[in-house]
Amino acid sequence: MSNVEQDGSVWVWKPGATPKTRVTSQFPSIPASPEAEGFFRTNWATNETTPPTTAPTSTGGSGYGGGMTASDALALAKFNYEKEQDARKASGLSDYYTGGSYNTGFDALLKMIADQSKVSEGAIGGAYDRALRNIGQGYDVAKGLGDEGYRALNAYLAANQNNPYAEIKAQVGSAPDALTNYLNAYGVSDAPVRGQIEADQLQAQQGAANFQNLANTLSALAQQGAGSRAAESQMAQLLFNTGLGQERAGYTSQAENAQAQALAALQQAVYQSRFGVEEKRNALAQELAQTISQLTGAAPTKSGSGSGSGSGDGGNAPLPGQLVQTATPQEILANQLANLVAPAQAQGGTAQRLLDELNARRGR
Amino acid sequence: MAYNPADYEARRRGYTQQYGATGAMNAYANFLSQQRGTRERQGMTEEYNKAQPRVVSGYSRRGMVGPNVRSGLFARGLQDFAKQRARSFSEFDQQQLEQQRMYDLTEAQRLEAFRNQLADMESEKAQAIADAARQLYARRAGAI
Repeated sequence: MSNVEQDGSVWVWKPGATPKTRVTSQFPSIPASPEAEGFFRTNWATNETTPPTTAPTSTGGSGYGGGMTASDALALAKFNYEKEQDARKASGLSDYYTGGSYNTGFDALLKMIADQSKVSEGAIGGAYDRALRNIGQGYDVAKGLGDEGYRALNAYLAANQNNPYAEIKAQVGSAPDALTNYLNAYGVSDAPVRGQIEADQLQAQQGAANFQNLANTLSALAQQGAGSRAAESQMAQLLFNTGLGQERAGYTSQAENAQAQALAALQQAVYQSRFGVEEKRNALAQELAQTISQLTGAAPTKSGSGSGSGSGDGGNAPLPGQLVQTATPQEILANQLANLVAPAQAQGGTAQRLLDELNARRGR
Repeated sequence: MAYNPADYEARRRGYTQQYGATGAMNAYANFLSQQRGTRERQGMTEEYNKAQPRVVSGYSRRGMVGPNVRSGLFARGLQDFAKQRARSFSEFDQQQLEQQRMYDLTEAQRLEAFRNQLADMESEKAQAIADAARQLYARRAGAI
């Protein structure tokens, strides 16, 4: 008969019962942990009925005789194993959480995003600089080309003054012969003839003057036309240069706008990327915290930032509610046992409470 | 509008050829006119030279002129003849002169028009160069 019997789904503690070696002998090689053994020896020796002075031969164990059978030892070992596994898991998760290790991947992603952001920002700046260079150089080339065209025009206009009327000189024809000698030979005066010739000459001179006036008027108009052309050329060149300058300002503004838009898009993309990383980081941290809380019964506290900044080098010193991060498995087991037994001791509990705890943990 | 120097050179050759051909035609017509005027003037001179003796002989047959005879009618008739001759030559020379002036004026107008064509073309060329420069600039700046 065992000290512990299963009643349905509940293990029942029966002190003083005869150990049932038939069952425990099936597990002769499973020893109880030294800490548990020492604990039980101490407690059974002081508080319970029979301290295990010598190991029962039937169990092959290290001495639970009297108050604990092999079955009890098995159950306790399983209980300890599960506690140890949970403790290991909790400790590991706690280390992973409080030490900020889980931040490593996120920090790497954030660093990658930051580096790519810098590269992209540099590329945008480079594109802007190239655009400005093109705009400046293009302006110089276009201005030089346009100025050369107008320079050629001005040179042509200066060399080809279009005033052909300046060459016109109105001539007056020579006076006809008055037959003076012929008239004189017959004793006839030539005065009337010369008078008429002079009148005709005067009329011819008036006609020539009118023609000259016409030529002068046309010449003046031609000069005005030439001056107008020169002014037109200068005005066209001024307009060209002004328009070119305005276009340069417009192109520069377009480049600036494009740069601003590209930077804004980049910032938006970087923000979204960082937001996604931080969102996943927070989700993981929350999941870790919840798991640790479930395992330890206390909310973990992050000692370090381990934050989006990527430091993640929080201290390893345990904080309230936090497991020792560098504990050995033995220390973890002892710690878990102490946590488990301490309330029972405080409440004056017995091994029955331990079994209750065990059943509770096993869901029975 | 893209700038193509060959187009302007072709137009320049066309303008120059047209101006030269028309000028040569006008110059030849002017030469012929002057030649015809010279012949006509020579004919007039010959006609008046032939008419002079007939004027004197006419008054002589009527006894208005001769040794120790100098009538007023003869003197007036001879003066009228000389005035008519002078008037004819004056009018003829004036006509020839006006034709020459018209030719000179026409040639000046043609030359002005020709130079205006060339100047317009040069202005257009400069404008085309400026437009091409702006288009190249826009392309360089990535605007088109």
